[in-house]
Amino acid sequence: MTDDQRKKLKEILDNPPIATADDIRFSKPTDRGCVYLHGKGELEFLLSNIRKPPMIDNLWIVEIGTGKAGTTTQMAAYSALNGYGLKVMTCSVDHRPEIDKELALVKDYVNVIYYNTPNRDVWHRWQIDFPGAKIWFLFLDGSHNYAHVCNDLWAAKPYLISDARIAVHDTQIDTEYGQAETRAMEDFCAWNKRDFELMDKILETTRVIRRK
Amino acid sequence: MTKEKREKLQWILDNPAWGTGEMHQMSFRTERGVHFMYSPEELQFLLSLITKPPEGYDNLWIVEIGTGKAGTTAQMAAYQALKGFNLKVMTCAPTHKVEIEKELEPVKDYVTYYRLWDYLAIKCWQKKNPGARIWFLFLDNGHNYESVINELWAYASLVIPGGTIFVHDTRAGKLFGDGEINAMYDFCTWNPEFKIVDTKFESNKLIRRIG
Repeated sequence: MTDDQRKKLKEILDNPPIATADDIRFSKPTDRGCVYLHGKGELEFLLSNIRKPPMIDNLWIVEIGTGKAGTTTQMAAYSALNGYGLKVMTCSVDHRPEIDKELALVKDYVNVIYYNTPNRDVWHRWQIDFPGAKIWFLFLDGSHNYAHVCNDLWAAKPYLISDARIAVHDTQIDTEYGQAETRAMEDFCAWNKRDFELMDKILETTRVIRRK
Repeated sequence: MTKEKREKLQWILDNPAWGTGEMHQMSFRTERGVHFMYSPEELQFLLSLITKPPEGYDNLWIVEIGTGKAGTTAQMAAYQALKGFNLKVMTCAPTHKVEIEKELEPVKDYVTYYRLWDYLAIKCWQKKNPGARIWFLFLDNGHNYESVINELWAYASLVIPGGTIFVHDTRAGKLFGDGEINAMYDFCTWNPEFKIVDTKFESNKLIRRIG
């Protein structure tokens, strides 16, 4: 990677998401009352879970719930800047105009695949398009309810490699959706105790599962 | 199979559940308001779904989540044995009721009972029976979204193509029925190789593995 390319990626990381003010980016509630990211600290925590991957081909960061692709771009830039060689898949039902603009920022450095597809269909589609693809980091930020988190966790299970991480957003326990998401994570880990563990809570708003 | 054993198994089928008469078995209500079986026809329908398994599988099971008092367990075990299907039966429940041992005694050669939660039973069962697959899965446990969706994801992947999943107490509009139905639809949406099949009974629904 050239110095110029590095500089560009660094710029993306230094100017998180939609490139507007932090107060819009970091505290704008969505229709459901969820917020995108709760602060720079949370973004840094999220990125810190994307660690150096093992030498495996066809390894991905997967994001369910593209939003405006702000976090997608951050994850892609972070991975590229660190030389991790990960590809990125993201999906959402509603295609917002910001998505193309955001993803254009990283398209020269990272292979980012965006599906304008519901999460229930995306798993099959992704595997058909990229047979044998595996996941190193999964970020669930789609519908914040028990059903979606539970089904996405189970659907992702076969593709998560050892030591992979799953981050689930908006898990704050003082909200109904946060409780539902946390319960889905706890249930999944109970059902798959040998393979998955819920990591200690570091942030209220993002909980992480690790594949053992 | 000896004549005596056949007669014993036939007696179980002729006297559903714990041998105290049809009406007791068929209309007994649990604390949650869930019925075991709603009618003799429903029980017959359930048994009729346990069909001859395909060739080529030597470790094929009927799995029941939610033993209850083991009435249906004994019926399924006796039915498949009399038909010569050579299936084994696994059943699990975290609470041990006194009737279970009595019910399972005549069919003990065919049944493995785990006094465990669904998520623990699968681990013990798979460890003890590596490579075990499911021909008929009967979910009659938590009767809510959470339990049914997790049971489907965990157990249904072991169902072989052509196999059947029978979910009990799916009466729409009832608290437990709606959760179960939603879980079935969600599971089949995420897993298109499974399809929901409506039955003539309001109290149960099926999923078939088609691929």
